Amino acid sequence: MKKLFFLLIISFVWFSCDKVEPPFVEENLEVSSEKVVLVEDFTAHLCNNCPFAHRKLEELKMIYGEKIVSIGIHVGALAVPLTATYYPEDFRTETGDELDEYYGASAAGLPIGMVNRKKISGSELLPYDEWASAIQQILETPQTLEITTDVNYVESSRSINLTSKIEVINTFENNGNLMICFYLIEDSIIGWQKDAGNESNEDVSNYIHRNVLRTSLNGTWGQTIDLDPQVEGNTVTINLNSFVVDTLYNVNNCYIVSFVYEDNDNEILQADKVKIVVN
Amino acid sequence: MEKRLINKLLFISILVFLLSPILAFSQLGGQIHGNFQTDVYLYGEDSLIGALKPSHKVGIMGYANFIYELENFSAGLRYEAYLNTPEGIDPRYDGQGIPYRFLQYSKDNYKIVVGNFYEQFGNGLVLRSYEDKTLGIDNSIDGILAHFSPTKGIMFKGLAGKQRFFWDKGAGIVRGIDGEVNMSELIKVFKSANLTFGASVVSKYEADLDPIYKLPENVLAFSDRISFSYKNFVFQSEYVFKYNDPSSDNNFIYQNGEALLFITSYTTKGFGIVTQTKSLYNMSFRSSRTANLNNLSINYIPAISKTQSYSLASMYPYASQSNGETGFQADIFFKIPKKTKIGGKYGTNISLNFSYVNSIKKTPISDTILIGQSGTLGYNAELFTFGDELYYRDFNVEVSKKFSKHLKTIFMFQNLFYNYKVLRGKMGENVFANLGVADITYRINYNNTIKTQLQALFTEQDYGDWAMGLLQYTFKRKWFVVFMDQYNYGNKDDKKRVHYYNFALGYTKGSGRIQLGYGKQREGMLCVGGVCREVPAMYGFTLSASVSF
Repeated sequence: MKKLFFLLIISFVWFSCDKVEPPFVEENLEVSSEKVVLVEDFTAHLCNNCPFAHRKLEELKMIYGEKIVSIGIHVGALAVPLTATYYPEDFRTETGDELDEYYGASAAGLPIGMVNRKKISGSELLPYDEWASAIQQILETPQTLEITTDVNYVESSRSINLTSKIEVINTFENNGNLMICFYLIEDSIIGWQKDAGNESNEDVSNYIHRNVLRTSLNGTWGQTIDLDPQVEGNTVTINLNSFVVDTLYNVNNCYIVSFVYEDNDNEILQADKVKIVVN
Repeated sequence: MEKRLINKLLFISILVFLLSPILAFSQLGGQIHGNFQTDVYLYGEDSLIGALKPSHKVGIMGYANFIYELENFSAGLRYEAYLNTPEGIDPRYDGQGIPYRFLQYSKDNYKIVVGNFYEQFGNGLVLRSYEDKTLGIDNSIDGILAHFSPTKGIMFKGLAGKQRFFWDKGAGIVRGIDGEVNMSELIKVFKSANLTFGASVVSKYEADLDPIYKLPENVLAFSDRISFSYKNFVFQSEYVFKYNDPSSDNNFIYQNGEALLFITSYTTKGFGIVTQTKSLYNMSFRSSRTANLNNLSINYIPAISKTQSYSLASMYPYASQSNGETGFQADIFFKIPKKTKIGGKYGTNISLNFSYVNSIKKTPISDTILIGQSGTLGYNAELFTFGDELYYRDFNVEVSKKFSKHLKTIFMFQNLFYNYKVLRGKMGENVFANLGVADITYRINYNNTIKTQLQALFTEQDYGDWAMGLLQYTFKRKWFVVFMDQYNYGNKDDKKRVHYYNFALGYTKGSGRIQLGYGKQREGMLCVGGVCREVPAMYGFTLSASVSF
C-alpha cells in the first residue's frame, strides 16, 4: 500500500496538470507577417454542421482581417440541389469536384477545410477547430511572395482582363514548379442551408453563403510561372484576357482570388483577393 | 488489370521482405502465430436506397498479424492494406503499411513492451487503447509499456506514447500509470472474499498553438476503483475526474469532467441479476483537442444497454454521450427448471433487460453565458442528475427454449425509445418502436442444420415498419448458405418500400472461413459497445476470407 501511495504521489508530481484560470481567451495577438493565407472550406447546403465552420471563419476574420482569404467550396452528395423551391441551388463546380476528388474532403466528412493546403499531422484536411492554429503557425513564418492582381472589367461584354504581378520578397529554395491559380468567387449569395445551430428550424431559406467558389479562370491547378525564388525582387507578370463572367453571377459581389503554390506538395505560399467591380 | 496484378505481386514481395527477419528468427526455434483477414467489396449503384458507386469501384481491406514467440521474448507486427478503403470507413486509411509492431519481454513479475501496444486501466473510463476493424478504430499507443508486480496481489502499470492516427500519429503524448492491489492475496481475513483497489493517473500533453484560447497543454485525469466479491455477489465501482480539457467535443469549454460507474451482480444457479449505473459529464478525452469521430480517444465510456445481435434490433443502437449522460441498466435472467410443466424436458431460459439513459442536468454559470459557450467554463453539472432530455430507453424479454435434440427456439420482444437527434447527430423524429423476433434452429443431424428467423419492427417514425426473414442452411458442417430479406414495407414513401435482400455462401474449416455475399444494405449506424460509425447504403458483392494460424 505504501508503495502504491508513494508511486501515485510521485506520478501526480510527474504529470503536471495545467489549470487555466479565466479569462480563457488570449488578449493580445501579435501577427507581424504580411502573408495572406488561403482557407478553403469544403461545405454543402445540406450539411447541417457546416454553418459551425462558416461561423468559425467569420470569427477568424475578426481576428486576422485581410490576412486570410476564404473560399466556400460546395462538394459531395450533400451539395446536390433538391427541388425547384427547396434547396434548389447548385453551388458545385468542376474545380470544386476536382479538389474534392483529389483531397477526399466530402469522403472524410463535412465540414472540413484546408489552410494553404498545408499538410499538418499528415493531412491537408483539417477540422475547423484546427484552422486557427494552422493560420497562426503560417503567419509566424516570413512572407516570401507578394501577389498584386489588377482586374479590368468590361461591363458590356461582362469580360475580365487580368494582370497579376508576383514578386519575390524573401528568397527561398523551391522544390517544385511555382504555379498560379485564379479562382472566381461570389460573396453573399442568399439561399437555403441546413443549420444545426439554428434551434427553431434547421432549414434556413435565407442563409447568406459567403465567398462561394464559382469557377477557376486557368484550371483547377493553374499554370506555371517562370520566377526564380532565389533572387530577391525578382518579378513576373501574368496576363489573362477576355474571361467572361457568367450571367448567373452577380458581378458586383464577385472577386478574383489568386494564389501561388509549389507543385511538389501543393502548399500555397501566398494569396490575394481583389474585387472585380470597384464602386 | 495488369496494374492490379503488379500491385498484388508488389504486396506479396513487400510482405515477404518484411517478414524475413522474423523468418530468420524462427531458425532459433520458437513459434509463429497470427491471423489474416481480407474483405473485398464490389460496388454497384442503387439510387433508390442511396447506394453510390465510387469511381474506384472496388474496396479492399486486408491485414495480417504475425507474432513470434521464443521463451520470454515475443515480437510481432501487423500489416494492413486499404486499397481503397471500403465505403463507410474513413478514407484516410487509404494506403498500406505496418502501423503496428512491437517487441516484448516478460519474466516472472514484470513485462516490458516497446513499440505499439494496447492497454486498459480499470473499466477503461480513464484509458483504453484498442482496435476494432468493423468500427475503423485503432488507437494503439506507440511508445513504452511496463508491468511490474513487486509481490503477489500488487500490480503496477506504466506507459507513455503517441496514439495511432491513420498512417500517422496524433499530435499529443499520452502518459499513464496504474496500480492495483488485491487485498485477498495480501491479507488472510479476505480469503473468503475478493477485494481489489485500483487507481490510475493519465495525463496528456499537446502544445497550445491556438491563437484564440489559452489552452492547457497538460491535461490530467485520475480514477479510483474498487471491486468486491463475496460468494455470489459482486460489486464494482469506478470514479474518474478530469481537469479542464477544452476540445472540439465540448466546444472549447474549461469545465472539469467527472464520471461514476457502479456495477452489481448476483448470480446463483438458475438466476442472475446484473445492474449497471453510470453518470458522467464532459468526459471526452482524446490526445488531440480537435480530433473527432473515433479518432485518438484515450478513454472509453462503456455502453449500458443490451448488445443486440438481431439485425432489426440493432437498427437503433445506443451511442455513449461523452458530453453528459445518466443511465441505468438491469439485466435479469432465470431458468425454469427442466422436467417441469413450463420448463419442459430441457428447461427454459428467460432474460429481461431494461435500460434507461437520460441527459445530465446542466445549469448556466451566469445570466450572460450560454450553456456550453466556447471560451468559458461552459456550465455547472453534478453527477446523477437528470436533464430534460431522454436519450434512450429499451426493454427486452427473451425466452429461449430447447424442445428436443433437434429443435431450439428463441423468442424476443423489444420496446425502445431512441432520441434520433442526439444519437444520430442529425435532425429527425425521435423513434418509438416495438420489435418481435422468432429464431428457430432445427438440427437435422450432426452435419446439417436449418436456421430460420422472422423479425418485425413496428414504428411510425423514420423508415416505418420492417419485416425480416432469414433462412440459413448449414450442410456437411462446413458449408452454409444464407438468404435474408429485410423488407421496409411500412416506409411512408411507397417508392422506398424496398427489399434489402442478401445472399451468402460460405465455407468454414478449422480456423479458416471464406464467404461470398451479394445484396443490399440499408444506411444506418453501427455501434459496438456504445462506440459507433455511420454505415452508408451499399449494393453489390462482398467476399471475405479469414484464417488464423
